[in-house]
Amino acid sequence: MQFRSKTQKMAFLSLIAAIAIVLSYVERLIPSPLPLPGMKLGLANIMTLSALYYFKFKDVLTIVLIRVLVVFLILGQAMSLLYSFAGGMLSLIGMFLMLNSFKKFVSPIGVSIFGSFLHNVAQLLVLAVVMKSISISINYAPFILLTSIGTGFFVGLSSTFFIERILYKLENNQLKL
Amino acid sequence: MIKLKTGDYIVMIGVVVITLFVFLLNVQRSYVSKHMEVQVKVGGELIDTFDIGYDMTKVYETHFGINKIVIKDGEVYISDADCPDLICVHSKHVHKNGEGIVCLPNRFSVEIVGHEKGEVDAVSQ
Repeated sequence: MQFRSKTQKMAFLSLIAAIAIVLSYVERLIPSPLPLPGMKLGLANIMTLSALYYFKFKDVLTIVLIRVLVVFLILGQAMSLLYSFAGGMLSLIGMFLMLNSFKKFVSPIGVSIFGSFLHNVAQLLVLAVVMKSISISINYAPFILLTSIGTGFFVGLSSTFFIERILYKLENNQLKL
Repeated sequence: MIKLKTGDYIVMIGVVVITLFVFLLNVQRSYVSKHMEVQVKVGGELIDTFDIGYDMTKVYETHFGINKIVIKDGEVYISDADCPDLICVHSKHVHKNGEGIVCLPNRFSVEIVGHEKGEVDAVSQ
């Protein structure tokens, strides 16, 4: 995506990060149907994924780091930073690599499912290290990984809409505000 | 409504396959025997070990938080905690080897660890 100046680009990336932060806050208000630790919709990834289609890795990384840090400062407990960071990074790198190599074969939905799968894998690994026991992670893994398909699908669908109706039109000056 | 490409299906099938694999791993690792131990850990460090056969309840107060565990009828569960989400309290009661309940905010975990599989050493075919 082209910008008139570095400042304008910075402002836009900050806007995307801000939306991601608000999404992280809002999704906490939704009650969880299952008693699984670490299960959440991951709505902030709508921003991460959409950004990957229009920005370089470096820029999306900035968005993710800002989001993780600010969300932790606003409403985190001690360990949540570690889980968010690990999940966000593995998910970002995985989605980036997938888009790099297989962009023609996947829609945002597939990339998103892959991303949320990796996010949960990273969180399970962190859990195993923190609790010094791989047993509990393996115990919870099937349920968490299965839900990642559902949440990944929803996030991917939302990303598709966000890309088509906002980002694409913004890039081509078709957006009427 | 949405067009799903080939890659999407591959990713979905891939995730399902891996989930199935981990699920089978769970099944293979879990068994019930009378010689199972319940291990209580805080921050990964082993605090207590109990035999699953003896009913008891205990309250753990750490600087992370408070958790109360109950062992009854061969089942282990967390009956109360002061964490904000209370996921640990609503979790399924565990009774098989390898299963466990974890309270992330309090870094508290209680898991079932077993010894040898029952009394059978080998099965001749």
